[in-house]
Amino acid sequence: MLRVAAGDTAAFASLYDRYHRSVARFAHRFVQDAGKAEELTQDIFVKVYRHAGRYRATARFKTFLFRVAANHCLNEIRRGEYRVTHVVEEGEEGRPVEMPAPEAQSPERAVEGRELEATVAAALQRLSERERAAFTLCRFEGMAYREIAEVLSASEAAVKSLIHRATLSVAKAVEAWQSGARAPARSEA
Amino acid sequence: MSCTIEDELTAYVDGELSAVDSARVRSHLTSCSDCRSTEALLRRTVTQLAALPAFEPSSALRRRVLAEVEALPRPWPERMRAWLRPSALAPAGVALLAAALVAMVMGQRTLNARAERRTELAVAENFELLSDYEVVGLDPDDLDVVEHLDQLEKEGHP
Repeated sequence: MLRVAAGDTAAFASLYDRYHRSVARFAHRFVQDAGKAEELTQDIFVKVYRHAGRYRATARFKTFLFRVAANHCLNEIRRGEYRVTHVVEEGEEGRPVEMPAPEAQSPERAVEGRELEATVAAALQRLSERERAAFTLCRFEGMAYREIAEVLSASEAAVKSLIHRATLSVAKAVEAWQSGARAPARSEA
Repeated sequence: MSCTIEDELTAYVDGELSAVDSARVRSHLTSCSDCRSTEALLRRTVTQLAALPAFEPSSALRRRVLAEVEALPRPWPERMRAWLRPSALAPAGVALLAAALVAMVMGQRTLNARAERRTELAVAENFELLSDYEVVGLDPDDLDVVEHLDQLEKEGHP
């Protein structure tokens, strides 16, 4: 980061290569749109470059990066810049979220995977922004509660509560989808 | 669900509780079927979420980000480095050397002038004493002789 702060674009490119997928995934969970997620990712990395001098080596770089990312996503959503225009409802098959389907999956598993993704996406949109941020950092980036607390400038107790509410809410949505999706299959058998 | 311990279940599943709290939850789970089923639901969901495919950004995004960064004004440290490159530094080095020579010459002159000024000041400080010597017909150079007159007499000097 010291090299990035000194304007070394090659050092910045290697940071981008290492972390851009994580940031894009995080942004995508927020806005559920590939184009908007990429726009947010671009803004976040340019911000990191411009403010690299503010990075202090006392914090992990990933924590610093996600602090910038979370603040940017939350601010943009609050400003109405990235209002979610299309929430994929549970069971809706018309427009799946842009995710690469694993090649080795059977068609049934692929459909089930897309439906699960849609269920999770819809459940995420019903969460508060901070719950969504904490949940995404925990479940998809594998961050510890303490790190998430640093990213969101919150206490660990608050993060524990955010993650619990969010996970329980998503779990109930997934359970409802599964009981609805599997009931007809059982009745056919 | 009315168990207060339910709030701890996600942290328990995530391994985020202290050993003491974790043991407390584990003990509670042996006697509470509602919390056991919630714990099972949370574990199932966490496993399913981990298996979800991840969003993959396009390769065009990399080009866009790097192009935007390249177009930004250079930060100060990099501009400083550009100024300190040998090609930029050589003319500056010559000018610096010339300035150092001028400073040395001027410095020497200043030192000589200061030494002269110090002598003048000593004369001015002792001006009264020097005048007295002149009144009695002594040369200021005879000061040593006057100071050590007793000693000289003992040694038999006239």
